[in-house]
Amino acid sequence: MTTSRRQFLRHATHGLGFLAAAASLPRWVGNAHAATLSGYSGSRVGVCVFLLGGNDSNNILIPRESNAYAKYLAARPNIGLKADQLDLINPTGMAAGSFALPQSLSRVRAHFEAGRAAFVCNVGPLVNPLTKADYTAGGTSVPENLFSHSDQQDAWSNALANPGSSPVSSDIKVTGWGGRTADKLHVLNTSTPPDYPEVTSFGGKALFCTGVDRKPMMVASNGVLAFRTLSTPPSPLDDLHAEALAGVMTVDDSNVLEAAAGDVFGTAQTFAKARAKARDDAWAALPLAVQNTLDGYFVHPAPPADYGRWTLHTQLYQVVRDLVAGAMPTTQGGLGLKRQVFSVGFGSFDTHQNQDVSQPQLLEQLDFSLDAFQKAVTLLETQPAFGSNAPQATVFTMSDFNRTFLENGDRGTDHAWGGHALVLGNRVAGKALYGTFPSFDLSGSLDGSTDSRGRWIPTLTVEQYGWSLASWLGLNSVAERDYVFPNLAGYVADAVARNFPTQARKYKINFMQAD
Amino acid sequence: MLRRTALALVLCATSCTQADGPSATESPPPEQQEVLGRAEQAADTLDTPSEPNSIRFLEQSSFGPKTSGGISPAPMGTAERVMAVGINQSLTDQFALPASAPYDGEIAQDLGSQFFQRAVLGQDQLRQRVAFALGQILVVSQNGIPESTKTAYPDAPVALAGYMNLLSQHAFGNFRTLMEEVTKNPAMGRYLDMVNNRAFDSKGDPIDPNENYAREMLQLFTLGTYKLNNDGTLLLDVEGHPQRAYTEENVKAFARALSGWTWNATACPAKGAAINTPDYKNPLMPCNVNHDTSSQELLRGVSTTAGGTITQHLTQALNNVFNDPNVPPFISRQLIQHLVTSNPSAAYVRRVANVFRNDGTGTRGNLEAVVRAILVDAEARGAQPPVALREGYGHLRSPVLFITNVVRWLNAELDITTKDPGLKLSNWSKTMNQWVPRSPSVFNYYPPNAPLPGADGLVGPEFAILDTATVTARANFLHEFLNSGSTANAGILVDYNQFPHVNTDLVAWMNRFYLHGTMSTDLEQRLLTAMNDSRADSVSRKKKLGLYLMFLSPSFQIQR
Repeated sequence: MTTSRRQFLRHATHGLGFLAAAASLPRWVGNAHAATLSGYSGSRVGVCVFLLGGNDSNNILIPRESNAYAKYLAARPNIGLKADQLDLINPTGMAAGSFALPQSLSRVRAHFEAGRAAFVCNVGPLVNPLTKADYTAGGTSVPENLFSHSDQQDAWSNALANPGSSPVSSDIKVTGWGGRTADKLHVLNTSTPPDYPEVTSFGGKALFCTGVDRKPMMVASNGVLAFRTLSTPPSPLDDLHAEALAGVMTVDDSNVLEAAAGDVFGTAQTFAKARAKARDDAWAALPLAVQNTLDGYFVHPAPPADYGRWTLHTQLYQVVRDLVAGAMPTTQGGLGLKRQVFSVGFGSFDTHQNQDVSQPQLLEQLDFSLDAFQKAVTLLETQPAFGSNAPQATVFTMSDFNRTFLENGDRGTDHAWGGHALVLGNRVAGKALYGTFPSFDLSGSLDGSTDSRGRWIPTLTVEQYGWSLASWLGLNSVAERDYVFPNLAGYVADAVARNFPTQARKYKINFMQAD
Repeated sequence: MLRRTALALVLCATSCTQADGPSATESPPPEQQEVLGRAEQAADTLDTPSEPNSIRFLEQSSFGPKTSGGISPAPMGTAERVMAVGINQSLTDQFALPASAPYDGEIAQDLGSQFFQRAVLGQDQLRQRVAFALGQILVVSQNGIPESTKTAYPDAPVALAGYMNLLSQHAFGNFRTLMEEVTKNPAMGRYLDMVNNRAFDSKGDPIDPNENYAREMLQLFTLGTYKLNNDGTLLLDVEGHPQRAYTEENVKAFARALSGWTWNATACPAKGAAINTPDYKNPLMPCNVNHDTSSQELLRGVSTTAGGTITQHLTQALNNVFNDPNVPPFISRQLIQHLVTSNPSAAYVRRVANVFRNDGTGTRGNLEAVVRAILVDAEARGAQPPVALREGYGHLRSPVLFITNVVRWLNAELDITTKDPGLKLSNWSKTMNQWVPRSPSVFNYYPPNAPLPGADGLVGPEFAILDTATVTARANFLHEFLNSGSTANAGILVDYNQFPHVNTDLVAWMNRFYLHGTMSTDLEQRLLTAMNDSRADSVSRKKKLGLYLMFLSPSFQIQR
């Protein structure tokens, strides 16, 4: 630990170039001297929103160029969105109004147009860059168990598309890129108490959150993680329970399973209390009006019929509470963390039937919840209570897979592959589409699709997507990259060797603003 | 003492490769010597097992050991009974017991509640324990059965009740029979798309059938991903690489060989058509009209008969899988993991797999013989695990086993006539991420190959659902259970007067029974220190504190 911390200080970059470029940054940013791995010395947070079940992103980013749009409507006579259900967007570098979002994503659209959101097109699990011929030939370059929910969720979480045949160590196969990023970010966090987990999860995929060294805080979606007591506040007898339990957990009978069980208990006991206290104290350090405004963002002013079953906005509200606790300096009662990763998830995206009814409801929930979170972070960024540790947050989506472009006989769609991901935040280089939007041609050679139903072969890999985000959080060395994304170097080398398009030959996708 | 050492030596002759650890020469704690003394007249054998050995046996073969409480003769499922009749007879007794009342999907009581009620109160402990294990290998989830509105009953509960009854009925039967029953079961049929899996589309043109059931049947229910040696280790090729147990072509072939089954009905549908009214009370119905009758190449170069019937092909396909050399080690190892230990030695797996291959009468797949082989094995028996294996021995009690062991050890009474205590237990289990019978996916609540955190190379399946949230839920379950009255606990009543009133006596009691005499002096001291603390200001408080710490301690959380 000591050595790696010294190494970190020696190699830390001093690039705070963005300070000069950004005109309207709040005043505290000028105080940020202490270099960090990424050049931002305050608190940075990545929030993974996992759309469980396989989101049909063919219906969240729609080309309005007439030829492509005609193909879209032809392939989706029932579930295709009509012109009056769409709002145009104007991505940088493209013709005005060349794409559209469904009206159910009106708030996301506003963030996109304001430069705070971007789409990453046709990204998915890959071993190597893949042509149609490569796919047809099969073999170990084709990801394992395509179109299977659990395997593809794992592939996104793990950033490894071929866990069965990959030569990487078992450590890597059983961990996720969120957790492995935390393994490397850990040196940046000097929390009180020490070693507070970088990753907090309210839902989504546990695999994503698990590192080799660093284990996540898993919390129920209501945000509560607390040991029951007999009295509130805890009585001396409750204190005795807690103290004695902590002691009992250290007895392992020289058995590795007992030691492992004791460790998990220890983590929960050590950090549950610290977390609960920091959540209360840090929140109280914010002005009451700010607290009320933040609370208000997450309450729908005109609740839709299915509002009672919504789960995403409540999870993201808990992220806000933990984010405040994490970013708040210890002098204000917070944990004083520099880097955190959050994981939330919400399901029912497996729209095999009646997608025309169900997906707009899901997108409405997504739209409201992401907007509430974005507004909350924007308000938090300028709060003096954070001192020099004001938070920045980037939300990014993952999903099992995209769905078939061609609708099925039940007004639904089936499992497919490459899809479009959304990134949102004030540090996103927004109002842009990254990567290559798929061709909708379902005739002829079908170069971009596994078959005639329109299952896009990804043209960007999960690792490129993940590394772009992990870099923004502070990882920058080749060693860190190869540790968290062990397949990425080989992917890029193969792209270079076989002369794939430029985007396949880069480690990163530039959807985050430079620091 | 001599007896213990001798036992350790006997075990080492068969399974030890390392020098004895320090615990081999430790004296048993004083409170245990009486126990050992009682058994000293005879060696700790299958016929005359010691009390610790008997308790361990019940930990492995039931939902929690009990003691007779002075009732004579000692009832089945108690340590005294096992000591009196021996391990083999105890197994024979359990095999002979009829199954508890069948699960009923048409009553209001949740299936999770019905499960816990049977697990805590049922006599057929071993049958239920094995059925529960099988249900975690051949997984169907209540959450994966949609309501159809076309049946006169609630689809998901009726489907799952039928499936759980099937597992219970065949728990000691033949694995080949079980495979066939599962393949034709309507709940499984719906869960993994076996039902209405047609080889033709509505125009009558051939299509590729759905591969879902074929794939999971091979990957999860019978073979696993890679070829195995008979001892469960990977069968490597000449270059030292693992070899796939089946190919994608095999999956397609099995999907075709198993095509054409639909819901039970009065008549088969037209070619390419489906029956859309579920029948969760009867097995699936074969319909040749939707079956691909062509020959399919299965495993090991075996093919189905060209032009064969749908039932003929199903028989050939299941025979082909059943006779694969992967099945005995793959199934044996998982059953050992569920009952005894997460990381059995290769020799243990081989001994059990050999019985799976041949029960001694030439029969393959005799689950009764397999279960007996697992539980009489030297690696399972004895007062303690074999010394050389002790460091990595045992398995984390799953939420279900944690809960039922606590409830049974505390001799809790369940008021099942006026309240629903089973539901309370099921809801506690849910908070620990094991919501019976609602596995989140076909990969069970936790996968058999989940790594043990911090121990490279070992697995700890149940650790996949042990995290900060669920570990807190374990503590909170126990806290609530111990400190709430029977009203709040939905009719679960514990008489704490049955436990010793003096701290040292209670700790000795907990050591003797709950840890079958393995309590370390460190744990003993910590328990006593806590219970002697003046902040625990009554006998009742001291007892409940001691029980709280005991059951949450790693020494108890890991079944050894």
